[in-house]
Parts: sequence; C-alpha cells; structure tokens
Amino acid sequence: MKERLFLCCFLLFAGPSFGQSIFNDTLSKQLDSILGDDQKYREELESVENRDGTESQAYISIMKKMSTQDSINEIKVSGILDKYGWPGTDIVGENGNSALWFVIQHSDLHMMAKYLPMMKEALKNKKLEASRFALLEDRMALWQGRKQIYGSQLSWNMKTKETFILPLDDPDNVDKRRASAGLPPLADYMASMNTKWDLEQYKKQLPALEAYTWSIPYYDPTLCDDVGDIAFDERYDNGAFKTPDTFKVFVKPRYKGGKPAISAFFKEGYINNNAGDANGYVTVHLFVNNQGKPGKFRLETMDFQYQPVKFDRSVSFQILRLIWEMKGWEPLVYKDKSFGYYCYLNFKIINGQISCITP
Amino acid sequence: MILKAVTCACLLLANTICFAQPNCNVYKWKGDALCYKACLQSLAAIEYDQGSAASQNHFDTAIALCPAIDYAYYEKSVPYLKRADFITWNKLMDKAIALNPAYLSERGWCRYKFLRDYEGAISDIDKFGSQFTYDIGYSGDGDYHMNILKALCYKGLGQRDKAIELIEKQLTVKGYTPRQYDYLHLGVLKLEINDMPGAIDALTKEIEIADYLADTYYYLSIAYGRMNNKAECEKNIIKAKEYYMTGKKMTDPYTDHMDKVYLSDIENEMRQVSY
Repeated sequence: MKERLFLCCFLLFAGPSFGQSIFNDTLSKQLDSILGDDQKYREELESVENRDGTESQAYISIMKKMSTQDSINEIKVSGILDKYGWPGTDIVGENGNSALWFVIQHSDLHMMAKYLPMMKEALKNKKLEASRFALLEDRMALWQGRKQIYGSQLSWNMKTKETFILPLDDPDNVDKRRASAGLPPLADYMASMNTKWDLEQYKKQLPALEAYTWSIPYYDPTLCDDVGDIAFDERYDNGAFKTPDTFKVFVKPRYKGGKPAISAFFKEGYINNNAGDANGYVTVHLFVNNQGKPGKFRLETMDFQYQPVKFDRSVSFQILRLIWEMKGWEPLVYKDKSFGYYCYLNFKIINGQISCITP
Repeated sequence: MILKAVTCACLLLANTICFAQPNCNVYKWKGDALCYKACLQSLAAIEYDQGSAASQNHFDTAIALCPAIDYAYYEKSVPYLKRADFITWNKLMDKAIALNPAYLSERGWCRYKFLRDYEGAISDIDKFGSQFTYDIGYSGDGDYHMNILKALCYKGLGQRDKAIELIEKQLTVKGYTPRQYDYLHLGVLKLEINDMPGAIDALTKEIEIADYLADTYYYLSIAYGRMNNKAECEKNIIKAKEYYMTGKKMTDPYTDHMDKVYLSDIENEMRQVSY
C-alpha cells in the first residue's frame, strides 16, 4: 500500500519523454506483466493483513508466494537489464520503467548493489526519477548498516501498532533532502500513514532504533563446551536450528559454484561506504543443515593484531546482510547421504574494502 | 557406520596440523613431577576428538599443573584455528611462542594459510629465522619450504620481483628438493610479470616434478595463448580440464591454495580459446 501510494506520486512527477528512441512494444508488454506480478500479492497482502492479521496462515502463505514471485521477477529483470541496460520511459513506457524499479526495490542488497551503477547512470540521463532513486538509496543504506537519508523506510511496532521511521541521518535537515529528491515533507508522508512526525521525540528514540535495526549476533566462544560450537539463540536464530544436526563436523563451505561464486557474489554486492579506517578481519561462523539451509550466523571481528575490535557497521552489518542473502549453500554429502556442518567465511578488510575471502 | 567413517576422515585431516608429540620422560628425568603429569595430561587430551570439551579440559589441567608446558598451549590452540576463532588461537599461540620461539614458524605459515596475513607471516618467519641458525624448514602441512612461503607472502603484498627472487634463490640451494608447487607458483609469477618464456620454462619444470595438477596446464595454456601459440594453448587447456575432472588439482582440506584454478576458470579460458 505504501509503495502504491508512492507509485501514484511518482506518476504525477514523471512527464512524457520525447527522445529519438524507438518504443519497444514487446519489452514494454513483458514489463507490464512483471509489474502486475510484482503488485498482485502485495495488494492481496494488504487486505489479508487487515482481515486476518500478520500471523495468520493466509498472510504467511501469501508472503511465501510473493517471495517466490519476486525471485522469478528478479531473474527476468536481470535478463532485461543485462541485455538492454536501463531503457527509460521512451522505450518501455511508464509502467515498464516502474516494473524495473519495483523489482529491484523488492529484491535484495546484492541485486541492488549490482545494478546501482546502471541506475546512477539512468538517474543522470533522466531515465529514472530522483524520488525513486532516493527510495533505493534509503533501503540500501539500512541494509548496509548506515542511516537512511530521506526517511522513506519505515517499520511497524507490533506492540504499539505504530509505524516508525528506521534510523535516519541528520533528522533536522531531512525535509531539505527530501525536497531535493522530489519527495514531500516527512510530516506529510507520515500523515499519509496516520502517524505524527515528531522530530524531537524521534531524536531521543534514535539510539534505540539503531540497536533494533542493526542487531548483530556476535560470536561468543564461552557459550559452548566444544570449540567452534554455536549455541542456539532465539533472539537471532530460526527455530529450525534449535535441534543440532546429527553430529558435528567442521569443514570448508559447500557452495554452488564454489569459491569463485562466493567471491563474485561479494564483488558484485559489497560496497565500501568510505569505511577507510576499517582494517582487520570479519569472520562469519555459520551452520549449514542437512538440507543445505544456513543458520546460526555469528560474527567475529578483529584487527590485524588479532585483537577484538568493532568495525564500522557499514562493513560488518553489510557483510552479514549479504551472507543472509546467499542462496547457494549445499549440505555435506558423503556416500549419497547429506549431513549438516559448521563452516566459516573470513573476510580480510583493508581500508573498508574486502581484500580477500578465505577459506 | 557412515558417521564413523566421516568422523575418521575428519580425524585424519585433523592430524595434518600438529607438532610432534612430546616425550614426557624428559620431565621425569629432570625430576619435574608436575610437568611430567602435565605432559601426560596433554597426551590424554589428544585421545579425544580435537576441540571437544573433554580434550580441551585435559589441556587446561596440563597448563594448570605446569604453566611452562608450551605443547599444551599449542595443541589447545589448534581447534580454534581450524574453527576460525582466530582471536583465541592467537592468544594461545602467543603463550606457546613465549615459552618456545620454535612455534613462530608454525604461527607464520598458519597466518598465511588461514588468514592471508602476509605481513604477520613474514614477521613470524623472520623472527624465527633470526633465532635459529639452521634451515628454517617447512610449513606444517609440508607443502612449502618456509622461504617459498615467505615469497608467496611478498606476492600477496604485490612485491612480485622479490617473490621471484626468493623462490629462485631457494631453488638453487644445494641439496634442496623442489616441493610439489614451487615451480607452479614461480611460473604464475612470471606470467604475471609478462615473462612468457620464463613462465613456460617454470611450468614445464613443474610438470616434470609433479604431473598431476590441472592448475599447471591451465597457466601453461594462458602463457602459450599470450605468445599466440594457439595449438599449445588449446592442447594445454584441454589437458587442464581432463586433469581437473579426474581430481588432479591443488587441494587442501582447510583453505584454497594461492594460484588455485577452478573449473569455471578453465571453462572460461576454453571459451576464449575456441573463438
């Protein structure tokens, strides 16, 4: 619903383009269909949420369908962008342009980062509206462990039933930034969500919001008897990992495409956000169960003297976020039987940049 | 049965990183009863699964009995290294090294192998070399002479000329028998500095010494390709794939070797060759 509102606003801002490009009817129709697929479950979700609540089976079922559809759309849109670049409204029309943006906005950090340079170029060439790019920037910032710039990304407090703004940088000047991106004042935006924007109150809540948004599960070796074990922690872990697998084994990661695929994933997905003073190692411990599902992610960070150090969130949280998104994990297979295992990925960080990944 | 077999396989791998077991009688002969008991506790520890609470507890007991027992600190550290708790590993290695600087060499190659900590590895290897006048020996996994490993660290730091110099120097040491990857790394370094004849020469020598690596044929193919020798380029990339598919490649249970070639590398090169 929130994004539908945005869509209406954006349609008002975006005027027709009269360039020399030739309209691609086939591509436009394909994107129209993708847009429909992107929106249909979101519309359904809203009515089911109002009727049955977010914990109902109906709601969960639609969420699953939506997630599957999003994955399909991501593959389709990747194919289009890799072939055509960002086409713009003169080639694919308003809906076509919307479809591309919606699918990326509903994708993951890896896909956003991969197409960010293309979208920046599209913005520069006026093929993408500043307001849409702003929303992408905000979502990426939060997933990279940084505060958002325009206040577009919201969350919902289940207890108080209130909508709130996820951590926002420099709240005092947010409306100046929003205006420059073609977005309405934050108070108006929040009013459209039936929520009052209170700047002073927000500033007081900000530290708690930061803790809520970027809760990092750090590795604690004292919590387990055997070296390398990861104790289940209900604050962070999926219930499927509550019961440990049949036996413990520590091996190199099993991942579709092997290490080149892991390296390529981070090369495309990780962005150094001026974390120049971040130097050392980020180690992510995890468990992959016998169905190839990863869980129990724990982070350990140290400097080059092997002393514990807390890195800038834009390094540590971003890496953690990207690992959550990795889809190629495989179980350990021995004599046609699958086993779960512990493994790790270690990132050597030099001036905020991933220098190499081991093992 | 299967679980037992997997466990056995893991235990076999576990043994590839270890110092020699101590001779506890040394303490007995010295009349040091506590350290003798500690030594026996250390030996008892390695009877259990590495890294298990039972094993680690025995090491703790050993250390409590004899705080000067470097072997217990070292052995206790190993599962932390393998399971990526590098902070705890290093703390224990610091203690082992303070008691016995011979562990500097051990820590040096582990810093290279597990963390690609090139500066740290060079520092440890140099400190080790400055304290012991004899040959600085080999990495704990047996893959490299420590001078070759040091050269790879310099390569990691971007100092290719220095890396080549160190490898070539080691290869001319009287009585030194080249290890299985020495000429492969030298060949890749020459490739990287655009010395194609030098690369082909080194990689050919690698095949003479250890003709069981897809990796060597892959780099040989690239070198010939850059010299516009299409026939050799094709021949070697086909051989690289053949070797790779039959398991003839650089392998390691813990980390991937520097210069390791992956199937995707070979297939990409094949696509380029068959233009």
